[in-house]
Amino acid sequence: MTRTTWPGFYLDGRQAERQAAEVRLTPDGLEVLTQRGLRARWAYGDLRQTQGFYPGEQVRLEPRAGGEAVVVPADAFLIALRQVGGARARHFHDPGRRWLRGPAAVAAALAVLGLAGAAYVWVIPAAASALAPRVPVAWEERVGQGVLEYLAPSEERCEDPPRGRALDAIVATLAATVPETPYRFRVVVVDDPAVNALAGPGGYVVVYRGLLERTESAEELAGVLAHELQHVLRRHVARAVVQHTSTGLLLAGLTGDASGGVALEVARVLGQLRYGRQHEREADAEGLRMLVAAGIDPAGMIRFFETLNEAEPDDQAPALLDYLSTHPAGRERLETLRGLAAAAVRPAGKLLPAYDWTDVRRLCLAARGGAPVALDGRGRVYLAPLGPLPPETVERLVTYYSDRFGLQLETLPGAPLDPDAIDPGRGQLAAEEAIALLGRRHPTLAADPEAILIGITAHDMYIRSAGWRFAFAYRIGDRLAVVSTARLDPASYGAPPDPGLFEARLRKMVAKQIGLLHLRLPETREWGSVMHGPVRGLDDLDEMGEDF
Amino acid sequence: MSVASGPPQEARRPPPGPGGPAAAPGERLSHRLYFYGSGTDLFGIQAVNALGTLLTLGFFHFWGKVRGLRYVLSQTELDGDRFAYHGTGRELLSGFAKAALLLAVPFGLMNVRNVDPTFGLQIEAAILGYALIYFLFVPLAVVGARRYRLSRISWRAIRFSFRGPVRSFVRLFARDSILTLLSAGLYYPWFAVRRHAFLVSHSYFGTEPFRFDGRGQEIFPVYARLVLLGPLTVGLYWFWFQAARQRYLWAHTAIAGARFESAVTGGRLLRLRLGNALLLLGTLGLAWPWTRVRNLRFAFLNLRLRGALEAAAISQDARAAAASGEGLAGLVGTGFELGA
Repeated sequence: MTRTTWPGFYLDGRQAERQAAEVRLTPDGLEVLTQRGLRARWAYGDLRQTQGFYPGEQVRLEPRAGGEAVVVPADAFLIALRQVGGARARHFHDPGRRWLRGPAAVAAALAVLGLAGAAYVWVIPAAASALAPRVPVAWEERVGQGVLEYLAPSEERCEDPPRGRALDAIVATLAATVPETPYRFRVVVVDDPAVNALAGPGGYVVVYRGLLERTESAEELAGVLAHELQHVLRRHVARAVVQHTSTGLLLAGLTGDASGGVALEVARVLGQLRYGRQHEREADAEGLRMLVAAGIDPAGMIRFFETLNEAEPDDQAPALLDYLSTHPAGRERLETLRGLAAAAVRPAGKLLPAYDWTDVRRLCLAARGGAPVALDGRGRVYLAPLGPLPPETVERLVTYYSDRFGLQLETLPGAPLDPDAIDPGRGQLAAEEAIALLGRRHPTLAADPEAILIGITAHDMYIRSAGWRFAFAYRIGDRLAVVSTARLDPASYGAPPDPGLFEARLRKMVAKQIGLLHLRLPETREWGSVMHGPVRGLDDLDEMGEDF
Repeated sequence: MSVASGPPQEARRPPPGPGGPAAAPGERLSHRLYFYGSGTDLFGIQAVNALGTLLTLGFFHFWGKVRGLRYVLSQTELDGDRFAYHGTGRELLSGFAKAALLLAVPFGLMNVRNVDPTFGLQIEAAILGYALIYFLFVPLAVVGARRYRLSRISWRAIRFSFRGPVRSFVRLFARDSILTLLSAGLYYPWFAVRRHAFLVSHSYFGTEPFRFDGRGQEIFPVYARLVLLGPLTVGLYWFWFQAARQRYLWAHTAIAGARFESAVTGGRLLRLRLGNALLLLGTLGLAWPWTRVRNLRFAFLNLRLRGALEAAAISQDARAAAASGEGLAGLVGTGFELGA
């Protein structure tokens, strides 16, 4: 027999006190009686249940019209209510169904993870691809112009029409492969030593001087430009914006955070991780295809990426860090590109045969009107090999300083080392003796007040008057110096040989001598300058910049 | 799924005692809040909320919020009766929409340069945008959200309400912000207390107002200690500061014949937050519902209401309130937390 009378409380909605009450269940509805008599009679259909959905929670029923309420603090009341009321009381909560909550919650959580994951991996990129093309080109150009103003303000641009035409010609060749495109491609060179190139929306490509000067041929720069143009053509920036916003919204929806501040930041990171890498891969592959379509040898693009990779070796980085970086790993990129290039038909001719690339890439220098204004040197600089030294070493230095700084150095014929100059106990060349040797082998120039002699030797060296174990360089007076290459090669201390690093170190050491003796620049504590001093070791040397 | 962790509801009538002069015979003289909810239940609710939000591309978010609030309030009990939440998803959605439209103005001003890089008065526009947000929208949001929230909460079928005029608060906020700036921050304790006084003293339960009698000069030492000891303790003193501040504010808040009392200490607060942080880190954020329950239990454990509530004398006096303030508060990011 179902119990039909239950003790509870009545809230009249007028005073904040609860009145002890007796609740009577009838087939049609319920009645509430308090000390003051019958207070309410409601049909089940007129009642809503607002509390009592959880174990131990008081059951609270309110008339739809609102204001009053009746409270019965017993779970069993609900069961009795549903039994007595039958069909009319079906809309009240069934405690027997509570167990469903557990599985439902787990299922919901899994579904959320699944949906969110699917959205991140497929839906958002698909939406971005669909929406991005609908952004009007004029908008993109406007934004691109703003980006250009920011990255390449007019006073920092290198403008040299004769050489600039070469770059324009490369762009035109590439653009000819996509004649239907609404974009007008323009290349701007920024006078900044960064080795980088960026594509802004709307067709502007910014190339930094550092990158330009590192390219060895027109094909190499074409490879970089093709990659950047693909960013523009595929509207990667617009896509990235859509992806970023969508991911932010997704996260905000999941966490219930309407202001979305944190969500947006996390979205930016997540977006860069996945979508940024996708875009880079796409730009690589499509860029290479563009090169082939334009009749440009893709080997240049690959060679240049190899050069860049050497500059930042990532062989040591473990696989996990690989994933966390915003660009696909250098090695992985190169392999992909090599694979694509192998399948392509190699064109016969060179790109821009009429131009001398070593001249074109000095665009910024030329724009400044030859040598940089600040570099005003005294005297003539001679590089004098002492002892056995590969001739390319010195040749490359001369080319480098000429290209980079407009400095004209001369090479003297090599001179053998004097065995007396080498300390038998230490097996090292005495720096003071080396300078004296320089004077003996080239007496006329050593006596010429306008001549600056920088000796370069492959022998390990030490300075007698100093207490150090070895020395990279030594100077006497303001015209004579000697530099030792022995300790600059990583192979000399048991590390894998690294020609790029060796060259960079040698360039810096010799540049510093040139700076001190020829340009008469002071030593500085700034790390960005090649005039940094004191240079206490290889770490300092590697940290230093290459600019004056 | 949850186990009731408080005393059974019917057996808790206090024995007839001496009572104070205003207490009716058998009336309780010490009240506390109990939270019967569990993190597991809350997790279930939020999982379903998240799913609904994803499937409806965001719309369900508002109904989900209501589900969450309804649960939390229905699991909170005072003197044998639970609180109730009366808001609806539709109200929250329309509030959000109105707030978003409203915010478009300062937001647009702040981002003029992104839309039109050639616009000349960009900096002035941006400053105007920020000023609007700070001096107008934040106080608007605080008052609006409080008014809406309180109006949708009831206890024993009597609604709360907030009757502070927005204009007064905007003026208070602006004036005190400037004074704080001019005094290099020294005025801030007064600002904080006056803000709190406004928000508390214009809050009502039915016909009964809350009262606040705190003063800036009394709480000044608490802030001063923070400024001095904070850097010395690498910021750890923050917890003791929060505790001292809470204790002071609650001790000066009263309603009817009863006064609040907080027993929060810096050490307990630190332990609570540390535990929460570890839980969240260890579960990559999934444990958030459990930390919310921990926070509620902690707050209730350390809060008492001493004296006679005189519930019989309090009558219904509900006031209308729109949800746009709530929407604004959500977008601008001003929180609404119990006891903070």
